[in-house]
Amino acid sequence: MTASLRKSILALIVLAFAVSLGFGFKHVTTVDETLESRLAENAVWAGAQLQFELGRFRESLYDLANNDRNASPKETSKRFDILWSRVQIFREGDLAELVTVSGMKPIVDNIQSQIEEIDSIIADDGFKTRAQPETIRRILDTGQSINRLSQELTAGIMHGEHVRFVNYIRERQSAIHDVMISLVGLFLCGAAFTVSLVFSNRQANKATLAATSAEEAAVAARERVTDAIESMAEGFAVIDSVGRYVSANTIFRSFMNRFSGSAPTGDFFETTLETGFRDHVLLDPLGRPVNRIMDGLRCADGTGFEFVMDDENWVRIETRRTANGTMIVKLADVTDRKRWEIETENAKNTAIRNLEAQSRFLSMMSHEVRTPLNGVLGILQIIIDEPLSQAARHYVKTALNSAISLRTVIDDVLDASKIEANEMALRNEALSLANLSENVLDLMTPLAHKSGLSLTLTLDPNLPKSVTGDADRLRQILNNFVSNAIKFTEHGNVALSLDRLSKSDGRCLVRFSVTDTGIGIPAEKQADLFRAFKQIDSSYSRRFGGTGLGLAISKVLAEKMGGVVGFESTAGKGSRFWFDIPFEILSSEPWVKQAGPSGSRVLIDLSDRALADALSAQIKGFGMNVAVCDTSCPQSNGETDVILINDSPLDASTAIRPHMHLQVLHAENMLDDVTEAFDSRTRFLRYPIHPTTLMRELLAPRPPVPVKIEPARPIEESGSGPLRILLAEDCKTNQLVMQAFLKGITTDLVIAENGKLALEEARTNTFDLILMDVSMPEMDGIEATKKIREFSDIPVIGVTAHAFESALTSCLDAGMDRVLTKPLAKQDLYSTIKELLDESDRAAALAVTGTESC
Amino acid sequence: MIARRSFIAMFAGAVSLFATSAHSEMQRPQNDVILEVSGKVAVVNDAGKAAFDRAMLMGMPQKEIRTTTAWTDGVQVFQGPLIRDVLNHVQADGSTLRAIALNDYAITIPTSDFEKYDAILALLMNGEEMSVREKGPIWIVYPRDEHRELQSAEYNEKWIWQLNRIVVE
Repeated sequence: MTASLRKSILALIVLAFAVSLGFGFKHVTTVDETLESRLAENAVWAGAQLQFELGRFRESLYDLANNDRNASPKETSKRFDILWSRVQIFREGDLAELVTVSGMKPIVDNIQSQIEEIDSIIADDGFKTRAQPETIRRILDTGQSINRLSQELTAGIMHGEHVRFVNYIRERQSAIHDVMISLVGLFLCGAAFTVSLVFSNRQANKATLAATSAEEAAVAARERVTDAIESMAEGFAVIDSVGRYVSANTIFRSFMNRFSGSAPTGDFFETTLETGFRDHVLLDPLGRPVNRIMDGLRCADGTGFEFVMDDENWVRIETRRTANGTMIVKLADVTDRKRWEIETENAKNTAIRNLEAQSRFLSMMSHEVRTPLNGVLGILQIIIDEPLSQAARHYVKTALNSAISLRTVIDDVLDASKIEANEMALRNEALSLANLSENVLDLMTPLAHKSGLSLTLTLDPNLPKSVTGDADRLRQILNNFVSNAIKFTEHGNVALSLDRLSKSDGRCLVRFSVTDTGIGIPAEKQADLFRAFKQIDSSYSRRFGGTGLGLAISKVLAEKMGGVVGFESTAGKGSRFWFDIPFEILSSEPWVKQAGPSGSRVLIDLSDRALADALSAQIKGFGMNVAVCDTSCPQSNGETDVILINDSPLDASTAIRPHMHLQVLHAENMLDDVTEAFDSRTRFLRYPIHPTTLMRELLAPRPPVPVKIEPARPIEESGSGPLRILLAEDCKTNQLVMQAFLKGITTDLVIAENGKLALEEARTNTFDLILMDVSMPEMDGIEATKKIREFSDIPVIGVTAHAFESALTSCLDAGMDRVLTKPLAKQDLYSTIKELLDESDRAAALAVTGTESC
Repeated sequence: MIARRSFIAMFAGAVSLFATSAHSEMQRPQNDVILEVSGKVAVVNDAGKAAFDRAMLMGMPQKEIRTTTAWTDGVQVFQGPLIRDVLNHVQADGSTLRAIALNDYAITIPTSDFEKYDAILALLMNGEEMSVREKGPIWIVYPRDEHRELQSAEYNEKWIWQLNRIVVE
């Protein structure tokens, strides 16, 4: 090799390395510059500014809505424009690029569309001092959502800074690597190429210098990010894909130190946590195994984990994984919130436990109070049928009334507790609205009479004949409304009316209304009316008694039936309470048969004006011509086509000559005394007047025949012999009551002291019916019935003091045909027996022909 | 009544006399004020400050800067008076400016910047007025593309937008 060739090669090598070095140097400076400029307008700062301006805009809007002194639409508008400009920072220029790199573009787009939405809300007329509250609310809501988005944006960008930082370090390392290769290459060229070596050295020094300055820039960048993270109020850390800390703020590190205790924290997040769990510094309140918690944290889908520390403080750890595998961990002390949550939860549980205890207590009371009450009521009902002196009868009647009141109170309280325990179940059976309301009329008339009030009932001619529903519960609401009306009315009248409001597709809506002329309800008391345990005034409560539960129960019942309750009231003038219930129509026939249009004119001449008006309204509803006599009755004008309704017999003094006469009988037992009418045209209407009876008489007039009244007898038996009844009952008083009750029917009564004996009796003898007490020693009624059902389908009537639906259900499930609750009413017992025997073979033999008084 | 009014007039006159003695008079703004320059200024038209409306600033010699910025895409054309012209107009005598934006963002800029570079109070971008939403009404713009040293974080921070107050210190 010649010297000149060698020189040339040397020159070429030197040149190649110099070029390579130059590139390396250039590489380093470019990376450095990118980093510098990117960090220039710190994205985190811009994000914070966005949130800041958002806050000021919302504040200004809020002031505007509240007519604050400093607020003006112009100011709010300016705030919004500034907010708008802050969003644009992310949409153009360097930050837009950064946003795209960080994958935050959708969020920025979302923010933009939200501020555009606000813009469109205000586009029409700008911000106004007296803007609609809902407009303001909408804008504030949108602002709230922007706030969330901008927080996400800031977090995302911070993460973006990290990614860039890591990339930068990598690029820087590769740049230094390039420089190093150059250096090594030059070094290999050796001392032989002194000149070139010196030259190279100079370059190498320069490159090292560049690398150092790049490192400084990196440190600066890192510091900036660290500052941002450090300023957060929560613990914050970035964990790389293998689980090592990339960076963490002081709060985070202090938590880690807490977790690891005396052990060194180490580089790995999970190890620190595991140490915390192992040393019981950290405790999972849900008791999950540590590896499952770790899996959950590694999942990093933003789910928060809450742990309690050994000092009973709470910490919440939230992890979120980014696209490149880095994990962001947020850590916060949530002790205050957690304690509050726990306190609330405890308070709630205590309240629930108290409620349950109360419910259990009431259910127990239902049994404990009803059983002796059964005795009291039963015995009183027997005594009153015995021959008594007038004074004794009066005392017994008072005692009986008191016992009945007590039962009402207990029933109210039980109903309320049933409602509370969600035990209130409704039956769905066929019922006649006409009969139901007439029942209420019968029941309430004595009460109304005692107060000197007249109680009337009017039925809409359009009411269907039969619907499905819970007759007992409807009756309960009606009784409650009517008895309230009577209680709070000192003089005048109480009118009950049923109207069909609408009808469609086999359903109809019926309004039950009770109108009184009572004291009314002052406006300020009206709001409390349907709330439990509220009476309009404690003074009223003393005067009128009652639990104050009736209306609340009625409301719940009506609502359970799909209905609504309501009222109108004027203090001093009276009230009208109503409830509307939708029913399924079973038979859409009218509730009273109409033979054909009657041409008769009806003349009403009654001393009770309210009753006359009610009858008139009822009859008019059927399209008949009605007149109510005012002060004097019209003189006879020779009309013969007149039906007269009055309360006195027809005689010579009656001015009018009707072709039919309906005489209203007021005294309860008078009918029994009247064996024959004085006049063949006369028929009797017993008070209270049932619309069905009235309309039947008017619409389907039968040829007038003398009325023959049979003395009432409860159950008429035929020649098939006495009813053989087995009574399973352990309580002597109840046995006595039942025996007395059953006296009305000729029976062959066998008594068994408990379920076991009853079972033996049922096996060995034949009975028509079994009356089965539920609570008995040895074997209870439920088990006995189950055993009897194994060999016989004899009708079984359960008798229980447990009024709860669940108790009733278990009776029926055991195979009982019917269940009666104590205290028993004679009427219920008879009708149930009749009903059951009607279904069985003995049906023909029995017929209930009358009612009895208790 | 008349006596009282003339007294107020006299008082106002005295105040203006006093004012004139300390500061030189300048034209008063006819429309909405978009910029107030206060602090160490000798020429004022309001209590201790020089208030400018858009027309007043547009009436001064205009300078056009074509440059890229860190906040926009591509080259933009800005137009407005040179900052040093405005400072001269109010006979500013200070070493730094406290530039304050609508949202109270503030930055301190040495006045030497405006001797070195032809920075402007940009009133127009691409021939159009800038609304608040577009960083208006005034944006301090440096001839960034003409000087490499201006393409840095340090200078980027001085590009204050939505500028409405300058205090000469």
